[in-house]
Formats: sequence, structure tokens, C-alpha cells
Amino acid sequence: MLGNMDIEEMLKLLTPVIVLQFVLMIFCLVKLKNDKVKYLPKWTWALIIIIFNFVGPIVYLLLGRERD
Amino acid sequence: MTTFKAYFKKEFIEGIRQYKYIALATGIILFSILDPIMLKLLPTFVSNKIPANLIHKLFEFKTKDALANYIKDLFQIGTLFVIFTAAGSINEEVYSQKIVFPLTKGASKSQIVMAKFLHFLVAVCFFLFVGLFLNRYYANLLFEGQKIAISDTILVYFLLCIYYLFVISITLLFSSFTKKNISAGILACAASFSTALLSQFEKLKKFSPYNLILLTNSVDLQDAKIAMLITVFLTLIFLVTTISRFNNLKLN
Repeated sequence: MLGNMDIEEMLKLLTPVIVLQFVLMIFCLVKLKNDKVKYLPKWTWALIIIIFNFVGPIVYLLLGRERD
Repeated sequence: MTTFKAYFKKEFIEGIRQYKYIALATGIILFSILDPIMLKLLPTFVSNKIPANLIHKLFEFKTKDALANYIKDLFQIGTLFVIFTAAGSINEEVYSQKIVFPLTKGASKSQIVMAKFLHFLVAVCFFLFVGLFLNRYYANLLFEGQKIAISDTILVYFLLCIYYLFVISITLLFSSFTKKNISAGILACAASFSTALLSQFEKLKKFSPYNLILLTNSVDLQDAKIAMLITVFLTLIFLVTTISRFNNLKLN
């Protein structure tokens, strides 16, 4: 039971989520470099991907890319 | 049936190629893990600003609070992910003229729509299942109090699946009426979130699909009967309208 967990332990628990966010961000930035984009310029998409955790990369994947 | 099978498979392949599953998994599963952890960390975050005796009174969360918080985020953010993943599925194919070839080969339009609908439903239901059980695991692990039973999780899952029937069908409907996926997404969001507005009126509440989300707190199927019937009925109407609209679309 993790009832009396301190912040360090909780951060350890959060690590998978932080790693996932980082991987998703890098993946989207690499894709952005090679993709044709729509609605916004590439630099704006890059900012969206970096600033908005999780939501930014997904918004880019769903709305920002020209379909293959 | 050949069209259905072919399109179901095609949607699956496209889901991988267009990263739709990454979007759905992020929107649905992520919060199931994040919410219980953030809820648990909240007292620590505010400990410098609020007196210690108040923290225990204000932030005494139970396992069911973690589930309720997850469902709230699922409705507010997860729904957006589901809508924008499905928003371009009809209009993009029509206006990029990719649909012309299968149709000239004799593909059935109604089966194409049904395959798209069922594909999204299966994907969303799968991620919901994983999300809810992960949330249950984390909530039971991190919080004191009565544990969330498997039967309760299954009932919540059932109600959420029915709600997402409605969300997917309305998204496909708007996708057949608009030229761009962003417009379809915005319209579907407006329609889905307006059901929450409808629930503000006590007399209309039980007829609103959003009532299914509200009833996840009480987990009583008897109370949800009317909302379930209305939601399934609306879903069927939207599907029939989508098929009829798709049949009447002029393809170049």
C-alpha cells in the first residue's frame, strides 16, 4: 500500500508518463521535419508540440499533417 | 459483406498509418494513470499555501473520487480526441477522391459507413476498457477507503461505451456533411457538449446522452434505462442519416 508516499516516490510513479510525453514530443518533432503541414506554419506546430504536453503532439498528428 | 470486411481492414491499417490509435490511446488511457497520481499529489502541491489542518479536510480523496475525476477528464478531453480522430473519416476520402475507385468497383456505400463506425467503436471500447481498469488499479493502489469493485468498473465501462456510440455516430454524420475534418470536429464537439447543457434542466436530464456520464457515479442501470434507449435511438438515426447523405453525395 502506498498510503504514506512522499513526493519523491510519487515522482518515480510519474516517470513513465514523463518518459511517454518526451518520446511523443520527439516523435512528433521528427515527423514535423519531414511532413507537409497544413493550417499553421511548421514553427508554430513545433511550439504547439513542445508547449502543450500530450495534447500538442496529438493535435499535430490529427490535424496538422497532410495525409500521406 | 465483402465491402464491410475490406473497409474494416482498411480502417485498421489507416488507423496505424495515420497515428489514430496513438491519439485514442493518449486521450483515453493517459488520464487513467495521470488522474489518480495528480489527485494524490495535490495536497503536496498546495501544502505551502493552505494550513495543514485544512488540507486534510479539503483534499481527502477516496478511490471513487479518482474514478470520478477520470470520467470527468474523459468527457472533457477524451471526447475531443475521439471526435477529432473520427472527424475526417468520410469527408477526407470523398474530397480527396479516394473513395471513387472502390465505389466504381461496386463497393456498398452503407457497408463503408458501417465499417467505419464499427471500427471506431471497437477501437474506442478497447482503449476505454484498458483505461478504466488501469484507473481502477491505480485508484485502489493509491487511495484509502472502499475499493472499486470489478462489477462497478464493468457497469461504468458499459455506460461509457454507449455514450461513445453516440459521439462516434454524430462525428461521422458531420463528417459526411462537411468538407474539412476540422469543421466536422467542431460541429461534433458542439453537439456532444450541448448534451451536457441539456442535463442542466432537471426535466430533460434523463433524456440526455450526457446523463450516462452522470450516472457513472451511481452505477445504477435502472436509472440509466431511458438515457440508454434515447442514446441508442439517436445513434441509429445518425447512422441512417449518414448513410443516406453518403448515398446522395456527388462524387467526381
